[in-house]
Amino acid sequence: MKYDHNKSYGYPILRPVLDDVINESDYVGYSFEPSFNPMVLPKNPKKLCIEVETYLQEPTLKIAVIEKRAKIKLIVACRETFFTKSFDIGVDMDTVELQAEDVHGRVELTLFVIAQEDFQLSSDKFHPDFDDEAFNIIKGNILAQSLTQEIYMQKEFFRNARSIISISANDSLSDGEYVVSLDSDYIEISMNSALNAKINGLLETNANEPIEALNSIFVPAVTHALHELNSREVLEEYKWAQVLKMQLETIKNQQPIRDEVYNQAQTLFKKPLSKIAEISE
Amino acid sequence: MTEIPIISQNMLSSLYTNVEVNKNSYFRNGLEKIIGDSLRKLHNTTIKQNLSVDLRWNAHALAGELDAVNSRILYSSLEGMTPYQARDERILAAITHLYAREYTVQRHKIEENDTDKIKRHFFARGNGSRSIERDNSIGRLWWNGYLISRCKEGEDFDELLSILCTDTDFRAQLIERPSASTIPQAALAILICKKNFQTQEPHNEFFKGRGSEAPFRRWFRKINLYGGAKLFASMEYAELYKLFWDAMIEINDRE
Repeated sequence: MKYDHNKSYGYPILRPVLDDVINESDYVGYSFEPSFNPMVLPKNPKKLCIEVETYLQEPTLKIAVIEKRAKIKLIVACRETFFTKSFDIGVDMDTVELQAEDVHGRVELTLFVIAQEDFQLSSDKFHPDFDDEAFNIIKGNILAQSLTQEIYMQKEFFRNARSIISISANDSLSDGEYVVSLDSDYIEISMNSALNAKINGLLETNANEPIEALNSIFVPAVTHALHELNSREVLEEYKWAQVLKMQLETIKNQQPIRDEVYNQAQTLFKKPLSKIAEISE
Repeated sequence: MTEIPIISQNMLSSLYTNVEVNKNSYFRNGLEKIIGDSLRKLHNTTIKQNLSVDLRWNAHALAGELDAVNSRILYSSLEGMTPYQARDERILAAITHLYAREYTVQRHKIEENDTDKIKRHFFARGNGSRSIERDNSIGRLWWNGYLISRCKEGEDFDELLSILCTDTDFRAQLIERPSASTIPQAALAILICKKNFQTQEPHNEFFKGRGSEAPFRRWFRKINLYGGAKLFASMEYAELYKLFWDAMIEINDRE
C-alpha cells in the first residue's frame, strides 16, 4: 500500500493545495509544493542529479527544521529496480546525486518533513477546525508531504532541458546578443566571450538566483527550438529534439500544458514567470 | 570469462516472432548460429563461460531450493551488470538463449511443442515487471540475488537467498509488495523475522497455508497497511524489525 496522501492523521499536515481551497488547508494560506529538477549531465552521465527547492514557507515547520526537531527528506523510489533511497535535504534547497544505473523507467520523487524528536506542535496557522490545539508529535511522524513527481529514466531520452543546451563564444556578436543554432545534437547558443564567461560562471554556482537569470536565455532559445521543430520534421533526428519531446510528454502526464511553444518552453524550465509573480508579492 | 552479451532489437524481435520456426533449436542444437553477427558485448562486464554447466536442475529437488542455489550461481557469474541493464530484454534474452538454454528448458519443464512457455521464459515481455522478475529464467535469478545484495547488511548472502527463494509463495508476496521490497531495511526486516520465527518455532504453521487467510499472508497485509501510514524509507532497520515482529507474534497468537 502506498502512503495515503489524503489520509487524516489527527494532527495538521502541510500538503499541496489548490489556490481556491488554500484557506481550507491544514495550515491556512500555506501549501507544500517543492520543485524537483532531475538531470543527467553530459559530462557525467553515470550520475543522476536532482535539484530540490523546498519552498517550505510555513513558519512553524520551517523553524522546526532549522532547530533540527524535524528533517526534510527526499524519497527517490523506482519499482522497476527495487530502489528506494531517502536523502536529507537542506531547508531551502539542495542537490542530491545517485547512480543513474540504479534506476530505470519510472522514478518517483516525493518530499516529506519528518519529526526527528518528540515535541509539541502548535501554530496560529492551523485551520480553525483544529481548535487552536497543540499536538504531541512523536519521532517519525510525518509533518508535511508533497505530491509525488514522476520522471522517466531512459538513457536515450532522459535529459534535463538545460543539459541539451551548449553555450559557446562568438566575438562577432555585441554584448547581450546571442545566436541559436539547431543543426546538431545540442541547441547551440553562441554569444561574445565576455557574456559567455559570465554565463559559464553562473552555471557553475549552486545558488538560487542565477537560475532565473539563465532562464532569460534558455526559455527563448527553447521556444525557438520548439517552433522550428514543429515546422521542420527533419530536426527530430537530433538529440535535443527527442529530449524535449520526451520531457514534455512526461510533464503532460502530470499536468496540462498549453499548446503554444512559449508556454511549453516555460513549463520545461519550471515556469519562471510564476517565480516573478512570487517576488512581486 | 567473457563479456555479457546483448543482441540487437531487430534480432530480438526476429527470435520472438520465429519461436515456432526455431523451436527445435531450443531443445537440440541451440540458437548460436541464428543469433550470429547480431551479438554485441557489454563493456566492463563479465560472464562465466561455463554458466550453463554450473546452473543446476534436478527433477526431484524442490523448485524453490534450486532457485536459491541458482540465484547465487547466476548472480556471482555476472559481474558489472547494472540494475538498468538487468531491465533490458535484449540482454536477458541473450543470456537465456546463449548461456542458459538447457537450464531454462529443464527448470520450467518446457515441452517441445510448448511455444508459449518458450516465449515466457526465454524472453521478457507481455507481463509487465513480472516478465523480468518472475518469467524470464535468468532475470528472476538475477533479481533475487540483487534484492538480497542490496539489503543484506551484515547477514549471510546465501542464507538470505534461501529464506527468500525456498518458499516460492513467500517470495511472491515479498517481491510483489514494493512498499516493502524496494526498501532495503524493510526487506531485510521481513527476511530476518521469518528466519528468527523459524528458529524459535521450527514446527510452526505460520508460513504453511496457501489461502488468502494464511497467517503469513495476513502478516504481509498488515505490513502493507503499516506502509500506508508510516514512511518505511525513513525508518531504521531495528524500528522496522520490531514493528514487523510484533505484528507477526500478534497474528500467530491469534491462531
